[in-house]
Amino acid sequence: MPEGDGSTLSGPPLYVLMSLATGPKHGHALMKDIAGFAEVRLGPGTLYGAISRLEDRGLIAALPADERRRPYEITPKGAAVLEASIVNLRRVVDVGVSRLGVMARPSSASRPLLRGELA
Amino acid sequence: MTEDKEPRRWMRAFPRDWRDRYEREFGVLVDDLRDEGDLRPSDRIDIIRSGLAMRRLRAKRRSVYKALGPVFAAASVLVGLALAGTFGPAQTTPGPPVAGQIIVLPARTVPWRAKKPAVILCQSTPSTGAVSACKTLPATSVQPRGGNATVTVRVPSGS
Repeated sequence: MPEGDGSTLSGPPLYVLMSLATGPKHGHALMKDIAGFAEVRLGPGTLYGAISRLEDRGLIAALPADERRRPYEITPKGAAVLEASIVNLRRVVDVGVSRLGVMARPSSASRPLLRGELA
Repeated sequence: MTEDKEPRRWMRAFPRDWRDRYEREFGVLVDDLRDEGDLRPSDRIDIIRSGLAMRRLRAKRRSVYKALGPVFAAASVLVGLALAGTFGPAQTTPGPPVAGQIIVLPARTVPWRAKKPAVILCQSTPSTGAVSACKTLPATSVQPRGGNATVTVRVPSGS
């Protein structure tokens, strides 16, 4: 958990941080990048809602506008929160995978029935 | 209303201060999507829903600030530490003292190895920085904890 923050991110704010981890981007570039790696098209309102909340928390910072488009970059605090969020996600995924593994293995009581059905 | 101006109208769902900051670049994004033919009917709902969510968030923050306003406006408290007549650096607590309050201070500011460490509590006016009504309060306990020390003082009522 990053010091002084006490939270991890998920959903659109996490996607925005992940996208900015590879370099500064403006809104349209963020939408395209997120659609590429997460296969999720964020609506413009959702995207800018996430951007404004992340900026409020100091996790991203606005750069000088390029013509009419304003790029954003991830801050060191944002990078720490992103790392903590990914670690947390990985832990949850590991639990999910292990539990799915248990569910996928037929119990000893059901094995004869399965064999019978296959025969 | 023309089709071109309609998306801009959707942005009015966002609070004014939000629009003052983001409307220009947000409008560029909407224009880009429209120019690419990727502005979907669902985007209207998305913008309005997000705008209303932002209004709710701002209203919630305002209500919290309103509730805490008198606390912060009344006074902040400066905490100084005394050791044999010398004072450590002042620290500002987030709000007025509470009876029996536990104050945790960094070790560098806490002469917690002193035989009789004490805490100086002063009221200050945040707007002017004026300090008044200082009181010396002996620490009721000092517990070294890692690099910090937990200093406990019993704040008398009315401080």
